[in-house]
Amino acid sequence: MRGVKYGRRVRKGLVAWAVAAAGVRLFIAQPEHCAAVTDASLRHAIDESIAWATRTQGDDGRWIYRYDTVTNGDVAAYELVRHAGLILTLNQAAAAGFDRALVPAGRADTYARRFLVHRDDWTALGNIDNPAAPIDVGASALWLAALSYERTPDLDTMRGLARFLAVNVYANGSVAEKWDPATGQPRPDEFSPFFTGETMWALARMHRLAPTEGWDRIVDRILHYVATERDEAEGWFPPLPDHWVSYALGEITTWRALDRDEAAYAARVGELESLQIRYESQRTNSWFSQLTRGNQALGAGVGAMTEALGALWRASGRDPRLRDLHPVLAERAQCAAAQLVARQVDERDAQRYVRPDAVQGTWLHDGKTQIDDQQHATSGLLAVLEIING
Amino acid sequence: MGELAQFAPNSNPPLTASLWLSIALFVTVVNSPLRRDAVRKAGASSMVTWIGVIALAWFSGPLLDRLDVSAPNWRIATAFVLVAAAVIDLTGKRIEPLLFRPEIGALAIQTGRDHGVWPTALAAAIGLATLVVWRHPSKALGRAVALTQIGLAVLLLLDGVFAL
Repeated sequence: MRGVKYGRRVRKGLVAWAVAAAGVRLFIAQPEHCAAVTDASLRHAIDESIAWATRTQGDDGRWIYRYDTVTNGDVAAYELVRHAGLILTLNQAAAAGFDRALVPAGRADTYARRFLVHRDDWTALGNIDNPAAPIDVGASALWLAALSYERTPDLDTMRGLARFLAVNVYANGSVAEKWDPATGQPRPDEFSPFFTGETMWALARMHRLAPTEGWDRIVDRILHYVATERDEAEGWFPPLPDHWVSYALGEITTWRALDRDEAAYAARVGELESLQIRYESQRTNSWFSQLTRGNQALGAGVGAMTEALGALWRASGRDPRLRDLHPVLAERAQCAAAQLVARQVDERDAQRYVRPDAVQGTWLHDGKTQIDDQQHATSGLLAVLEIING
Repeated sequence: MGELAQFAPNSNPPLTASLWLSIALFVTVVNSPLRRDAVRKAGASSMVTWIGVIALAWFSGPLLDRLDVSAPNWRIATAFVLVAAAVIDLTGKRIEPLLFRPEIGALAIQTGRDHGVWPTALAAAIGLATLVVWRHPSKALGRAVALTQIGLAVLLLLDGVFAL
């Protein structure tokens, strides 16, 4: 009798364990698909992306902005912010030894120079269609960052762009989204989730190349604002996991240590990026995964996570307050890169589309790809290449 | 996820699941006021449970690697299991009188992965020792312990969500 009771008890216990294990595995702790990335797999993915940028660039230096595989056409208006962003990525690639990126970057650079605006002592990247419209600060910031990666940087143009950025930084460190030609002033109370970090990073790159000109003082002002009050002051909720600020932190830590608030902010961005990539790596786009985890994110989204983790890894290698985070940041960044490598459209997949040349080497989402998918993904892969090569 | 972001710690170093939290959770999982009598009647062995905890802690690293689950995500999973177990305790629907239950297993793996084998053995020993120390069955107190377990599990969940 005692043996029967014991057997029942064990059976019930085993059922409880089985139900708990199945529930946890199916709904909570799904596998994080973080295959190992190698120097070869990263280089191949980067080469494919550069080849796409070369193939799909028009004679004028522009790319197809958002390619729709169903309509086989461009379905969005061209933007100089993202044009500058892709030049930046190509220049980063060239600086990392991918010489084939130089040609499309050079053509795109020539196109960008058609829209330069000069006023007072500054230079900005203006608008394509309407010269009288307010100017996006982010386009000039990204182009300045792009120029900083050139082998012989055009310091005169860079100084002009940096002066334009400085005009748009307020005394408290916040950064205007647009400069208004009608008033000759930054547009008040309008902020971008991205341009603040882009401006900080671009000025940090400027300081690296011209360290005696005082750009670091503006960078410090922006960083203090971002680390201590930006999310609340500008109403960003949830808090921004800002990959552009991460890039800036990677530069700033080359010339000084972070203070407590800045390091806490950096750690927090790392945590938010880690959270996102741990979740994203569970998505497979199977019906069950879509049901329980949703669709896979845009290439630009995963790319930006990878960029942030890579840049924070760089910062954590230099800053004593972040040093403990260094190995985990490397692990998460490599996991993010694994998603990018696995999801890039390869030559065989590309044959399924009307224009294989327009999709090979891209990151498609719902049958579309936008130039910033390739921009962020490729920059992220370049960052992880740096990680795995030490 | 967006709603949870407001709890993101703005501190340095970032939160990591503390051993104190694990010890407290081992105490609530054992829940002596609610479970001591049932465990004694069933003849469940604290020693077998303790050895099981150590074994799971020992293999926690390779096990999670094999399952492709990171330490922070396992914290989240453990938190869910702990909440579910506490809710079952609160509703009185517990079906198995064993001491070595899934929530103890999940907690053993989490503590083993985050803190190592011997800290896990210590935490589990403290939790199991409450069966000896607390001799008065009390449903009300047992439910209070289960509610505490939910609160602590939420802390573990946040720790997993906002970990690097």
